[in-house]
Amino acid sequence: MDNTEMFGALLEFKKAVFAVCLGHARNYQDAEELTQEVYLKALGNLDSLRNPDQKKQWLLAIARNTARDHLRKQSRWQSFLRETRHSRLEDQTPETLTEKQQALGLLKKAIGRLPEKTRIVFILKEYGQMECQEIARDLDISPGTVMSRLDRARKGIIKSMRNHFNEKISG
Amino acid sequence: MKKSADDFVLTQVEDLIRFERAAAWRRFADVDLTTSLQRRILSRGVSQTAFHRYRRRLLLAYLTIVVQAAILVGVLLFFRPRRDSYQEWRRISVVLEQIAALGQRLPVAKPLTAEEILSFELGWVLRRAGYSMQPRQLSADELQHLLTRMPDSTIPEVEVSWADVPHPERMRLEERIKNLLRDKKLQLFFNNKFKKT
Repeated sequence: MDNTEMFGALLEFKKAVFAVCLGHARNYQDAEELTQEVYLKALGNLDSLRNPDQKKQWLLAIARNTARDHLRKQSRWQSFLRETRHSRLEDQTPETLTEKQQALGLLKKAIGRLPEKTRIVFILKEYGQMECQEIARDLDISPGTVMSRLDRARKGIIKSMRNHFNEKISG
Repeated sequence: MKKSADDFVLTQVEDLIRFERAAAWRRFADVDLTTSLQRRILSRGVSQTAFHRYRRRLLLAYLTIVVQAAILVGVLLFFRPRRDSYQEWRRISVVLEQIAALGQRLPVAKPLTAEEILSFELGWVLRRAGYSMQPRQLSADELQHLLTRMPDSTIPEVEVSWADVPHPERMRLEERIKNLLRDKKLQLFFNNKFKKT
């Protein structure tokens, strides 16, 4: 399989890559840009892919690293909410749109605060809609570890989001 | 109760993610990744060339500034005003006084007196400057006289630890005394007192 064919094969995983990027990015534009960045990196490093059978894991590792670096650069979360407000969320009434944007901003913040290992499991599960077995295989960990990290991630997210939703209920 | 509240939050979070994912995926599905990647690779190539050109210009500008600054510093150093030797002596006296003060704290069996240290330091410096002076050739009175040329107010009340002073301070002292030796009156003083080797 030459490089062109290999790259074509890698493009089949664009949904998973995009999901990882979307989970880390603050808005759609960033996620799309990150996805492109991941593929550019993959293209430039195709020679380092030793085992073609592991191409998905290899690509997701690039996606994870790229997204993690991106997240680190976003150290100023204050600008985050402001920019999220400009991201497009279609087919919504103004009220629900504002609520959703606000909640989404908080959620992204909560995801960003999760430890790296738990964060990636949460993103692959919730954004990538991957099964635990699949995540375990891609991350080279046991399914039990995936479950426990997912549980920890969910608890962390719930803890961060509880106040917001409780206010909604009481309000 | 808490469990159901947590479940509610989790459901809301999952809904939120589902909503975001669906909206984003709808948009991303229309994106031709291959074309956008090609476009990006092309634009990156162009921007890299531009960057190299920019970097070369930046380097040239930087070098020009460095050369100009070096010339300016050279000119300023060449035309710098000479210090008044008495002022210089006062500065030296401060250093000498600090060294003398150390005499009380030196970790030796018998503490050196200020005069002993001053004498030693001056002797050391003068020998380096080419005078055949041995330590203690300056009398205690002469040293006292040198010290009293400095007003008391200029003696700093500083704690100087032995580790703080030594070599660099001595080098500075030597430089200052060498400069002093250019002073005609002081040259006369030293020439009368010591034989130049």
